[in-house]
This record gives sequence, C-alpha cells and structure tokens, in this order.
Amino acid sequence: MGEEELDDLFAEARAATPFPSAGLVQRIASAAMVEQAARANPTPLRSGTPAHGLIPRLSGWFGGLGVTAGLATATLAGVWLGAVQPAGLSLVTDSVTQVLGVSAYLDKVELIPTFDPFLSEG
Amino acid sequence: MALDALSDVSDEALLVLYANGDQTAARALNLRLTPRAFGFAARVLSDRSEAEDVVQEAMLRLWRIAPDWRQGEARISTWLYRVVLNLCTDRIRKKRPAALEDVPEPEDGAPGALAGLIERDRMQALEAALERLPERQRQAVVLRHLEGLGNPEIAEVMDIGVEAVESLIARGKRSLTSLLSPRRAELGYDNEV
Repeated sequence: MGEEELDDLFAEARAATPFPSAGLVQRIASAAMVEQAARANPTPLRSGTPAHGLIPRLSGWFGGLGVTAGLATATLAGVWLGAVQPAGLSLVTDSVTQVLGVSAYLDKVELIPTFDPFLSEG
Repeated sequence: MALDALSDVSDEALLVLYANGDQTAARALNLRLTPRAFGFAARVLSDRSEAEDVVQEAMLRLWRIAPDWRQGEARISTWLYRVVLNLCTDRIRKKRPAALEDVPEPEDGAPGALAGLIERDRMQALEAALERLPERQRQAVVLRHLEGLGNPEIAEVMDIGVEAVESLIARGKRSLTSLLSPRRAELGYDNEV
C-alpha cells in the first residue's frame, strides 16, 4: 500500500466519522443545565442542624463567629477605656510641655469659661 | 437567544454566555463540540461505549471550568481534545491491543454489495491497524489525518514539540502502510489501480 492509497483511506474514514448517540448528547445537555443551576443557587455550606450554646447562637444572630468576636473585642475595649484612668496620656503630655517650656497644664485651661465675670456689676 | 443566531459565535464566547446563565449557548456548544470529541475518542479507543464515557466526563469538566475560563489563553477545542486524550490514555493502558488478524474476513455477497463490504472492511482494517500502533503514534495520526488538526495544535494537545509531532506522524504512517499492505488486494485497491 502506497502513501496515496493511505491518504485515500484516511479520506474515507473522515467521511465515516463516528457520530455520538442522541442519548449521549442529551446526557451532556442535562449535565450542563445541572451545573448552571448549581452555580445560580449555591448550596449553603452550613449544617442544617440547629446549634446549641450561647456562642453559636450569638454567631447566628450577628452573622458569623468572626463578627461576634469582633463585637466582643470592641465592647471590652470600650469598657476598659471608660473605666481606667488614662495615666499614660498625662505622662506623655507632661514630658512634651516640659520640653517646650510651657508652664500651663492643659487640664487647667478652661476651654468653656462661665459667664459669671461678665454678669458681675462693676 | 435562538440557536441559529449562535452559529457565528466563537466557542469561547459561547462558553462565557453559558457561564452567565445562557442555556442556548450550552446547547450550541454541546452540538458543536460533542461530535468532534466523540469522533476522536471513538477512533483512539476503538470502543463506542468507552468513548461515550470519556466524552461525557470531558464535557462535564468543560461545564465546570466555564466560570473560570480565561479567554485568549487556549482554544476550547484544543483544551477539549487534550482532556479527551488524557482520559483515553488512562483507558488505553488498561486495554489489550487487538491483532489485525482479528478483523473479520470479507463476507461473500452479491456484486452490488461488494463495494459497501469493501468500504466497511477498509474502515475495520484501518481501525485495527491504528490500534496496533504505539499509543502516541496513533494519537498523532488520528489528530492529523482523521480530525484534521494542524501540527502546532496537535503539539499543544499532546504537550510535545511540533518536530516530535511530525516524527510521530511519519512513523505512524509508515507502520500503517506496512500493516495494511498484505491486505491491499483484499481491501479492493488492486481493482482501482
């Protein structure tokens, strides 16, 4: 058999390409629709069983454990800032005023003076 | 969108439409790609049933990769041929090669039916001869001469260089010629010369 005859044989084979069954085409089409629908309606990752305990319930209310932890941290920080005297701040301001030679202390400056001196008759 | 309106739309654009929820695009891609993938798989595997399994799996992978498809990086047909080839390779390694002598001898029949019988025998002989080629030679010959791909695309599908493709095809064709030569007269070639 020569190369020319082999090429003729290839040409015959190309004309007789195996064709897929209708069932295969249908199965592939169905799979396409299933995949498309799955992407449009993603399955929730959380378990359907109800959670017990305080932390899981709080997580459910606030939208997740991370958010709950963030809220708890912010609450504790607020309480701490409100309850504890910020002594560290006065140490810083004292050092600055001494370096600058300022004698007046900020906590002694009356930012909102009363009207009493203006009301007295003289 | 109507199916006819998508005939000029590229495979890549259809896949984007499908990923965006267009069902007609999926139908168009299915009708366009499944026959090609199946023809290739059936020739490489010489088994329709296994070819159907392979193509179903390959097309499922296409549907799943659709939202992440990067346009411009590869042609979808090339990607699909590659997936089909890899799936076929897995199956071929579990199969026993059939002998050329296993092909049924031509049946006796009326002269009018002789041409049809010869044509059928030629296809069976080619199929059996292809099956006897080394795996990579068979894949390269099928992609080049039966699927009509160019050598650069075959190189991409097979993940080898173009020169390696040329070498595989040349050796494959030489082997096919020597395998089919003893049956030349039987397959009706003497009568046509």
